[in-house]
Amino acid sequence: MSKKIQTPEDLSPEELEQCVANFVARDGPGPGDLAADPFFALWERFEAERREQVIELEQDIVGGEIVLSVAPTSPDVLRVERNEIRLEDGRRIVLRLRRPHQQVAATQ
Amino acid sequence: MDVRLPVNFTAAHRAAVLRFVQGRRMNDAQHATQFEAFDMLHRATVGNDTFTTFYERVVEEPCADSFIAALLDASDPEVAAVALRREVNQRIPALLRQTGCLNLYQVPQFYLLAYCLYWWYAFTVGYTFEVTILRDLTISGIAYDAHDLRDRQARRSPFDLVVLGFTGDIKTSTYFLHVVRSQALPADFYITRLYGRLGGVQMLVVFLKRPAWNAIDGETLPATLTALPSVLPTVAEIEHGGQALVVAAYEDWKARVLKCQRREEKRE
Repeated sequence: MSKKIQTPEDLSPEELEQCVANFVARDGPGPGDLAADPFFALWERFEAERREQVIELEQDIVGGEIVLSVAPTSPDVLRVERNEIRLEDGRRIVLRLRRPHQQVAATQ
Repeated sequence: MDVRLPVNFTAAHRAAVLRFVQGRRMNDAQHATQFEAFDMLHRATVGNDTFTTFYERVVEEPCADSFIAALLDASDPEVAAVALRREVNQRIPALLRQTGCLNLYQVPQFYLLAYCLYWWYAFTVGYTFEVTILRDLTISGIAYDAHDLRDRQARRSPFDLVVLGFTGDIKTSTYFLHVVRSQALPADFYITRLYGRLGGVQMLVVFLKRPAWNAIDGETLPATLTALPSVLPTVAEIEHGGQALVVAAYEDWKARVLKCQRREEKRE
């Protein structure tokens, strides 16, 4: 049987207040510095997660133009503005709807 | 005050927040969950605020300027920071109560309190490290331009300093990983601090993009992220997000920068 993990919901207000008092008294350990091994292991893990990440975009047509948004279920790592996707290195991907006459010209 | 947590904030994330406040030791998986939990809490809301905007308005804005001014005036920033941080940590529950958060020791408001404690800790440790490094660069004779830490607007500049025309950031290892987790690395180089396996010896490390390294030159050894602890202090090269990053010991980087700057001075 797996051991139940303790969450703040399991503690009384008095116990949570004591936790905070102890935190202040001992000044951490907080988000300061990590040892080299866990630091690089975590970095590697975040890299692997990034490589597997799928970012889903949703598209609406407003006033005949594409309006993009990041799907609510996707990680909030991409900047999207109207029909533009802004990449982290500063480049932009711009999506345009093909107009009917462009489609005809393209098939000729 | 109505507090709403992200819908996908799981029991594991909740446990990670408690573990942080309790100061319990963590393994790699628990560290990763803690990073994720505090990243996710950026999107939690309190009234009309996100946790981020609430923290900035209620904790950081009233406390940051005096903290940094005292740090800059201190003879030993690392020592002074402990008492300065504690003074604000003690005030945080009262600052939150003034906004109408009266049930801080009950869920869900407890998560707001934990979030404020976490990011205030990250803020204070981060600026203490930055002040310490900038002082060391000055003492070492390195020429650099840095943002004015006493100025709130300047503190929000995208980079902490410029050396040899390259942009740099000074980040604690934890904050560095928060950046790595959420975005690509925008600066040309990063100075960070880690602890070694044996006896917790401090290791100062600089990560440089290729152009920033090419300017100061030198051999590198190809390595993987997980092999780096055993490769350092040898200058190594890793791949991050599809681009090469050179990893050098801080003292080695300083010596090379100094040599380069002296060469340039002679030319002028």
